[in-house]
Amino acid sequence: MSGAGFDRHITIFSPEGRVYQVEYAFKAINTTNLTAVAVKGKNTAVIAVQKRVPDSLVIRDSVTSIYQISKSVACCAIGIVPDAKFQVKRAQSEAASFKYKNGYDMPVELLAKKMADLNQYYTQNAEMRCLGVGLLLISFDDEKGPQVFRVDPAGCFRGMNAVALGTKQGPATTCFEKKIKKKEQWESTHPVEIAIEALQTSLGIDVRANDIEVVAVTKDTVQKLTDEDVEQYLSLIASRD
Amino acid sequence: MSSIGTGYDLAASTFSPDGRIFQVEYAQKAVDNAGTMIAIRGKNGIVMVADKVISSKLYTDNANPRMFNVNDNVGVAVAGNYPDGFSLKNYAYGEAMKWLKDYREPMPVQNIANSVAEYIHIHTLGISRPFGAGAFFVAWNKQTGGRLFLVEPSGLNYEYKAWAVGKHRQAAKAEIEKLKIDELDVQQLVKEAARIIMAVRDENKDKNVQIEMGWVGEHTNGKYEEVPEEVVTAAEEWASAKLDEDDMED
Repeated sequence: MSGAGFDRHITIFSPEGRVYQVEYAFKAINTTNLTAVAVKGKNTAVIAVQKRVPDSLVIRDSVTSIYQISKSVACCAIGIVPDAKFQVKRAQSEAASFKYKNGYDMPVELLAKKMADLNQYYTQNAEMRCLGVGLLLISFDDEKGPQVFRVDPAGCFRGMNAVALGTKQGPATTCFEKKIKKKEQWESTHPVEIAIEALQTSLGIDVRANDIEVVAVTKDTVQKLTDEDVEQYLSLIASRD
Repeated sequence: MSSIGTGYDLAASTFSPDGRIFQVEYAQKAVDNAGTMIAIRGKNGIVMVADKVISSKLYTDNANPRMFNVNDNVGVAVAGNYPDGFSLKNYAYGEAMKWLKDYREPMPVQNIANSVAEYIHIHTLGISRPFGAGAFFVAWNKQTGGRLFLVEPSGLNYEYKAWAVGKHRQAAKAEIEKLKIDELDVQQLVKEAARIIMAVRDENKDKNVQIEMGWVGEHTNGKYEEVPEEVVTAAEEWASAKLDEDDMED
């Protein structure tokens, strides 16, 4: 049931109280057919995301969904790629501006809130559209330890223990929900292993080291894992099965 | 899920029900239906070739070029809608000048490509119409070797070993993949590139076409230049001969 007017075309309410354009923006996150997961552990926060190079003539390193926002915050942005780069640039600018004005690194919760508020602005104004991008932000906060935040095009942001985003977010989320029920096992397994395993299970295929990108944040480092490191985790998971 | 926007394609500020932005996809069509353009990175340089349509015999030679210098080291080739492409070239030029003023050194090609990509992307947000043009950015220096970037009307920007855009891009890409481009030096690249452009032309539809070429590499000392007329003519002759030879073998 929808109105006869422009409720599907611009960010206004439909008669049932839905904002169709924002809902369509969520669909845009799945246009690149990628899935990303993020997990928070005791000392580490991790993002693992699929990597797909569009053609053999493209240089591999120029295709990535993982970006470093500041010294302590890393993020994964999936959806429409140019929109993702736009958001990442803005996030980097906000983090740098905060550091300049306040003298300390912008906590990831505040950054997530800021990005969410920006997204909300686009949903309330007709002149610009929402960005078709979902953001996963990870960081090691000095007071709260490892953090994972998810920001969506509607302007909603949430801290998560584990989260999935993208085409296979349903299966990946189910995988996380099952695992977290076994509390002891969840706490004793390394978050990188949990993340890669969830990604593999949800994708339903045997993942190879160069098909995924993994970034891990600990107290002192933000590090993108090399193919060899990922290979080690993959063998670990395979040997357990 | 049809490819026709019907109602969702009137502005770049509108998503379709499946999350696509049709105005941006239509802008991409402006590039896809324009003259073929290829760029190939070889052993010690990069060559760009455009198949230009000469719409009138009254134009002077080399009127409305498609390739320009952004700064001494970086060349740009614009594909698609010509005025839009020209505007992009001017923006790139402005950004390179600002960088030179701020940092007192020439703007590197990756930064130029990223800057132009961001500019193009802003036009996909709905404030104005998207650019119906894309651009190749190329540079070569001793430390990094050749680098080739393509910026598309959606704002997408990747680095490539070689790529083709325009009407006959699929056929051109297939031809490029047959070559071992890492082993070709610039002089051979120029000939092969001319051959590819001429091979993928449609004799019935592509009339009044002219080849325009630009290159940068070790032989130009890292400076981007228009390929001299004699080299272009020689490449075209070599290409014609090669194509006739291939035709006779078939």
